[in-house]
This record gives sequence, structure tokens and C-alpha cells, in this order.
Amino acid sequence: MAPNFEEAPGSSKRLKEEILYRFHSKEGHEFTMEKAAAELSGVVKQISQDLGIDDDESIRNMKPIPLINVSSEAFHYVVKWCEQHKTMPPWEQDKWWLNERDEEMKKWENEFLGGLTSEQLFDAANYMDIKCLLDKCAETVAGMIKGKSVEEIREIWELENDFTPEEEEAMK
Amino acid sequence: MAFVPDLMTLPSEVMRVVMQYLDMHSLCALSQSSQRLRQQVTEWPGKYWSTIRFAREGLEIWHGFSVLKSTYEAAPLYLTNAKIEMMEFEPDATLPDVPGLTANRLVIIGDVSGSRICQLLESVKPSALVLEQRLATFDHVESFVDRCNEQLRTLHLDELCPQLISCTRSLHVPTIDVSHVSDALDFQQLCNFVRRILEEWQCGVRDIVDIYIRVDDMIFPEARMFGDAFELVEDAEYCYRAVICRADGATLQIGVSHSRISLSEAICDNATINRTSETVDSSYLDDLVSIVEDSLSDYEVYDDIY
Repeated sequence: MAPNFEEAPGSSKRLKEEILYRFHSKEGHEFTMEKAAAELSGVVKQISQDLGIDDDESIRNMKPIPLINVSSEAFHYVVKWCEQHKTMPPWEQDKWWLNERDEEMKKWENEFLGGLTSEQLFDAANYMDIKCLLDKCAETVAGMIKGKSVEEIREIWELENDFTPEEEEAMK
Repeated sequence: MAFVPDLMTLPSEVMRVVMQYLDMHSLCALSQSSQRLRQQVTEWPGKYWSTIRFAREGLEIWHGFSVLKSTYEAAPLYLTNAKIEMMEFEPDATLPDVPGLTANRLVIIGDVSGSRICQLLESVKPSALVLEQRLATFDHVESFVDRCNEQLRTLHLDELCPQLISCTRSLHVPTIDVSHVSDALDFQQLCNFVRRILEEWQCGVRDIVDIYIRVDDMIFPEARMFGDAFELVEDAEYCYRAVICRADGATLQIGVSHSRISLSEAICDNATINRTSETVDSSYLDDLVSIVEDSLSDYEVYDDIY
């Protein structure tokens, strides 16, 4: 069942006291996201920096950020993810092994990704530059690939073997 | 996940992160499944980090990806059946501090300080160390020597670093291989280096257990004057290698080449240095022998091998 965006954690019906960024999804829905959560996005941080947004009042007065490549459905999940991770230490991109998460968070993340029905979230994570989400999505896909033979990969992803016999021989 | 994302349409940025999470065998399988995926894997710049990830997972490390990049750019995964045994660091890379990181062989590229190398030796615990670097800031030589003596079976030096030459006497690592200085030496320099090593080790030819000149299996008359003094391994591009064994069993290998024989090839398989041509330029060899003879004139040469 499609999420009810009006009731979603990122819907615009949020408490006025919160420091909220506002966004417009591809379909034109308006979403909000709490400051600490929104700033997990590299794009949000960059836009804020470019616009000289450096205090809470400026954020409140900021126009919605248009996310022309992010669907409402994907953004719904982005908000849930970011709200859940807003208190996590900064994500280490190059030293990923330092990004330890406790068991409870790991469980939450697995259930979260288990509930996805499309890969729009991947695109959204990439577009919004949310490292921790992108990494988790990638780790999940990698888990699908790990341990599979060439033939199994071709079968699961319906890939055509487009190598020449000579190339195949060279790869052995 | 309730769906299977389409690998062919995932943004390349996402695929790059996916690959970061794959082990070597999965990367290999992925690269062999389709042309497009193969291209993505072979062009992936994060291969270096993946080697560290493999290490973290307790696997033996395959060094091939980046060290061999120039040689196997188009086909790095051909080597996946090779023994995974090395890890490497690129110049200026932030060196990892990964708990549980282990490697049989540690390759360091770039100018890493001696103290940092000591740290890595302690944490990574390799049995072989390859220093392929400029060594401009090499420090803590004594600590380095101690650490090497304590845990290394093999030490490969790719630079004629004065500090390291001077410490060879203190090194009791069973094999010290400087054959890869080949790119930097001409014959005269080789001979000077040999002499210097002999001086450092304070041994004349008589003290040296196993030094001989050889071109593959063929002993040249000119070379035999040194008997077991040098081993010369020659290939079509003139690569010569000398092996000196000290009485205590430590081995020093010295090499020279007039062509660039890649370090990676040499490390992967010393056999690649072997002769590949039947043609030997004897005049070239004569020159070498002459130079070596002069350089070693202070040392008494075995008489009984003439």
C-alpha cells in the first residue's frame, strides 16, 4: 500500500517549534524534515551553504528545496531513514569500518530496507548525497551478489552473456 | 528486500559503493557476467580500499588491483586465481588502522616514515615487507631493524636508501631482496652497490656462501671467475640479478635491468625475470664482469673455480 504522505513523518503538518527544512518532491508534494535529519544530506548542506543559511530562523524562512528527481514515495522513506539516523556520528566515507551501529539500529535498518518495493530510494540517496543510506542500500545489493557464480548472477539479473568465446576463454 | 534492483540501471555511483562491499570472488563473478558490469568493475577506483576490506575480513590479501594496474589495466581480474597475499598502500593514502588487519605481505608505496612502517608491521603482522618508495623521510632505522628481525622472513627494498644500506648488517631477515632497484641502477652502480653491501657486511668473497654468476642454466666462462659469486639472470631486455648469501643464511638479492621490468611482475613471480631469449650479448656481459671484477678487486676471489 502506498504511504499516506499527509500522515508521514515528513509531511508539512509538523510542529511549528521544530527547525524544519521544507522540500518539494518530484510530484510537487511538500515535505519537511527536521534540521539534524535533513543535514545528513550533502545536497541540503551544500544548498544551505550556497544560500548563506546559517541560523535556525533562515531555515524557517527558506523556500522549499525542489527535489526534482526524488519521488514522494522515495522521499517518504528518506525522511524515515534520516529521522532515525539524525543522532548518529558523522558518516565516515573512507573509513567505513568506523561506522559502527548497534544491534538495534542494524535490525531497524534491515527491516527498513526489507520493506522497500522499488529502487527509487537508491536514486534518492544518491541524488541527495546521503552517505549512510547510500552505503546501506549498496551493502544490501552487495549481499545479493555475494557468493553467486557468474551463471547465478546472469540468471537473477537476467543478464545476457555478451562476451565473445575468446573473451570468456581469456577470463578463465 | 522485496525487490531485486536492476544492476544495469543503477547509477554508476551506486554501483561503486556496491562494489566496495564485495569480496574479490564476487567482484570477479560480477565482472564476468556482462560487458557493462565488467567495465564498471575494471574502472572502479575503489579497488584499493577493497583490498583493505578484504584484509579486515581476515582474507589473504591480493595485491594485484592497483600495483598491477598499469600492467593489467584492462584485465585486473584475470589474476583472481593467483594467491592473494599482499596488501598495498598508495602514495599519500591515509594508512588504515584496522583492528584485526592481517596480511602475509605488506607492500608500501610512497614515502612512508620508518616509524609508521614499524606501526604497520606491528599491527598488520606480515611475514614479508616490500618497500616501494622514495624513503626520503625514512626515520627510526633502529626500530625498523628490530621489527624486521623480529617478524619478517623477506624484505624487499626498491630504493637504495642510504639509511637502509647502512643497516643491512644488522638485518637478520632471512631474505633481503633489493633486486627491484633494477630500474634505478646501471652496471657500475650495481657493482658499487655490491661492494658497499660487502663492506657493510664486512665479508669478502670467501665469507660468502653462495654467490655466483649465472645466465639461466648456462655458466659463462667470463662469469665463472667469480664462481659462486653472482647469479646473473638475463632476459631479452637484459635483467641481471645477483644473489648474495651471508654465512648466517641471510640472503641479499641485487638486480639491475636496462629495461623496466615492473615491480609487480617481479613480485608476483620472480620467474618472470628469467631469460626469455636465447640471444645473449656477450660483450655486454664482458663489460659487466669487468666492472664487477674491478669493484671487487679488494676481495680475494676463489681460486678453485677457474
